[in-house]
Parts: sequence; structure tokens; C-alpha cells
Amino acid sequence: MLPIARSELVQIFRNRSVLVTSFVIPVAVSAFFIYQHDTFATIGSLGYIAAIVMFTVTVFGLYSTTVTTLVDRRQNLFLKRLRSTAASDSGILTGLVLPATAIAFVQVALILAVFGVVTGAPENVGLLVVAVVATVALMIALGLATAGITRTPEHAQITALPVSLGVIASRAGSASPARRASPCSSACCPAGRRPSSSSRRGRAAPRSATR
Amino acid sequence: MPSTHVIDVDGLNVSYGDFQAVQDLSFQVRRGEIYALLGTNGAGKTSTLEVVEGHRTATSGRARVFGRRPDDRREVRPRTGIMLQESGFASDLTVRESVALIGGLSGRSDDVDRVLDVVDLLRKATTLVGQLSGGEKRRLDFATAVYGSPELVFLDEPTTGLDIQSRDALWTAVEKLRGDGSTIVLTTHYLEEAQQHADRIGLMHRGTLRQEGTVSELTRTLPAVISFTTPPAAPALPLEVASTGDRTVVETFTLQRDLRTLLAWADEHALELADLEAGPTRLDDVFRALDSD
Repeated sequence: MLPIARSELVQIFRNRSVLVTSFVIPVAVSAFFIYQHDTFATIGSLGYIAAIVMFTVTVFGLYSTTVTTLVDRRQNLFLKRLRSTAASDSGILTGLVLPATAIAFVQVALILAVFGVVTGAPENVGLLVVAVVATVALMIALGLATAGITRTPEHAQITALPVSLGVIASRAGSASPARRASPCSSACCPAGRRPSSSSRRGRAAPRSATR
Repeated sequence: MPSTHVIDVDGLNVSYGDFQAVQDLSFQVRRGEIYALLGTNGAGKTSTLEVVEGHRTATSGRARVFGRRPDDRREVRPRTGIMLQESGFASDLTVRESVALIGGLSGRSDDVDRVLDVVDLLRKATTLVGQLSGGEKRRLDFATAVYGSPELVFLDEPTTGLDIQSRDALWTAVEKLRGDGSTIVLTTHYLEEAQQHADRIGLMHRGTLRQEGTVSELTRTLPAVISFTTPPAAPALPLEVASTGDRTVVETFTLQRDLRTLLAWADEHALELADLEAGPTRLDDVFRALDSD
């Protein structure tokens, strides 16, 4: 497993397009959200920004890389080559996915750490860790499932789209005041800067009134 | 005492939906021999090889490698080297990294540079696989298969795309492996290679094994051919003639005796046998006869 993971890591760092997708885009988007955190905090909350950052990194960095890596390795028969060795299927799969997963964990940890320094420590670090681990596990599972129905790396541009758009849409939706009480939003919200229940009720009231 | 059969296939069937690619196939490969599995396109060679390599599950029947199921990777793969028909390498890894990765995962140990030297790729050790030519990729494939000198080596179309020097070098390496005790199973479209190197040959056609044996066993089923340009006003030939016209063709199972008779007849009548050709039956002839069934 580890030799496969090591070779995948080498390939990621030698492939410019994967490097851009895995590193540059997530970091750039996250940097933008952190830089503009005051603006986004007024629209949603700091927890909302943390969630956006986490999903951006895991979707672009982990989910997309998992799908394209697995499909590419299968299409160019590298997967068959690996299965010609004594390595087990689970070991091969883990080795292929491990580098992108580790990179995603490091990215999320660093970005959230920077976010915490800029805006203050999260209220519940334990819950935040659970949220990160669950999100990473979800993205790996979605990546494996998507790779199963994707024929070519080019085809992945289409098959991976629903998850990418779905994540963006759901996070945009979570910015609406009525949905801001998700575990991640609460956990990520820095202590002392979490919107009060009264303010949440206050924002929700007009929506109820419009029904 | 170890079994003399490294591979034992019995009543193997492989189907793809309604299409039966392999039908009731049985054969054994003995320890230390070079066994060539030949056949026409679509004969079922690749399906058979994939089952024996452990890449495909048989619809029914039994296949054993070293007395174990072929997909028992932990036990079988460290003793087996596989050269695939198509490349399947990561283009962003170097040649040395690729051999080290695949060779290392095989469960055997070897010196990567020694293996690269065998296939004349040592000077390309730091080149990315994506920058190799087709022939170089085949040699890289061969390098990963023979890494650690496995007991059993599968060679699927090993010399396709190789120049003549590389082909010679590859067969030299294969013969050395066999000399060291390895068993080789190969498929190839170059019949002269199979004729020259294989100890035994299995001829597949339409999913079944039609003939099996040594080259001489296979070719003795068809007559050898003597042919020459028919001399003008030639008297009757004391041999049974298969066809006449501009060119006389004699088919014989006793080549040496009939050739002597022919030359004596030509001397007696002061005839020149222009473009005289005589030779034993070749594997090509057996193959063509198989395809015309």
C-alpha cells in the first residue's frame, strides 16, 4: 500500500493540472473567503465560511482527484498492472486514494488553523474534527462511487459535476439564516462570535411572516 | 517431491453473455518448459491467459497455478511474473521508479538496475515512462515480469513492436530464465518465434484447443512440400504430383527420400529444376490448415 501511495504522491507533484486542481484552486478560494470573512460573516456566519472552505478543499482537492485518479489508472491499465502483483485490492485502492486524502487533511487543517488565527478559536474543536473526518470520508465514498460509473477521465468532467455543483449549492443554501444551525456551522463558529439564538430567531421571523 | 505441472487447466469455460469464448479447455504446463499458446484472432487465448493469470474468473471449470487458485495473489504472485499485452504504466513515473514499484509489489527482490540492464533500459532509467517509445515500453513491461527471476513467467505478445535487436535480446533473456529453471507461458503472432523457442505448443481455434505438442509433432500431421518450375517437355515424374502447370508441387511425408528420387530423375533426363524449393512443414502451414477448418 505505501509504495503505491508514494508513487501516487510523486505523480501528483509531477502533474501540473492535478496540482492546480488539488492545491491552487482550493487554497485560492479558501484564501478569498478568509480574507473576506467579515463580509461573509454578515451574510451567514464564521461557521458557514469554515464549512465552505472545508467543502471547497475536499470537493476540488479530494473528490475530483479521487475520481480522475481511479478512472485514469483503470483506463490506462495501471490498475490491472497493480493487480498483477501480490498487492491486495484493498491495499491498491487505499494506496491510490491515500495521498489525496492526506493532502486534503493537511490543507483543511492548515486553512482552518489560519482561519482560527484570523477570527478566533472554534467553540467546539472536537465537533469540528468529527465534521472534517466525516466530510473527508464522505468525499472518498462519493469519489469511489463516481469512479465506478465514469468511463474516462474526460467523462469525469461530467459525472463529477453533480457533486461539485450540489456541494456549492447546498453550502450557498446553508447561508440562509434558517439553516445555519448545522453541527459544523456551530462547531466552527469561534467562541464569542456565534450568532445569538435571539438574532437567529430575529432573522428567521421575516421568512415565517412571508408564508 | 514438487509437481511436474506448474499450470493445470481442466474443463475451462469462459463466457461473455451468450458468447462462449473458451469451451471445455484442458491443458497442462510442465515445470521448466516454454509453452506457447497460439491461435487465430478471437480463438480465446487472451481469455484463457487472463483466467490463468488470475485476472478473470472462469464461468466453469478448474484452473490451478502451483496447485492453487490463480487469484490467490498472496501465494501465487510472488512466484509469477506477468508481461501484459498492453503497457499500463504511469506516464509520470520514471523507468526506474516503475520497475521498483511493480517489482517491489510482486513480493520478490532484485536489483532494479540489473533488471534494466537486461532489457537495455539502464540509460533510460531516469526517463519518464510517458517519453518512452512503444518498443521501450514493451521492454519495460518485460523487465517488471522478470524482476526477481520468478518461477513462472507469462509473456503476452512479448515481441510486438520490438526491433530485431530487441527481439533477439528478449529471447536471450527468456532462454536464460528457462535455463535457470523458470517456466514460460507465451502467446505470440510471430509463429517462427514459437517454432524456434517453444518446447510445446497449444493451438487454439474458436475457443477450443485443437492441437497440442512439440513442433515436430504438430508439423508431422501435414506433408512437406517440394516445388520447382516445370521443365519444358519433361517426362513423367516418378512421384505423386499434387499440382502441375508452370510450377510442379509434390507433397510428401518422406521428404529426404522423395527429394533424392526427384534429383535422380532430373539427372537422368538432364533437366534443370529451376527455383527448386524443398522444406519441412512449417508451423505456418499447420496454422493455416487450422484456420481453414
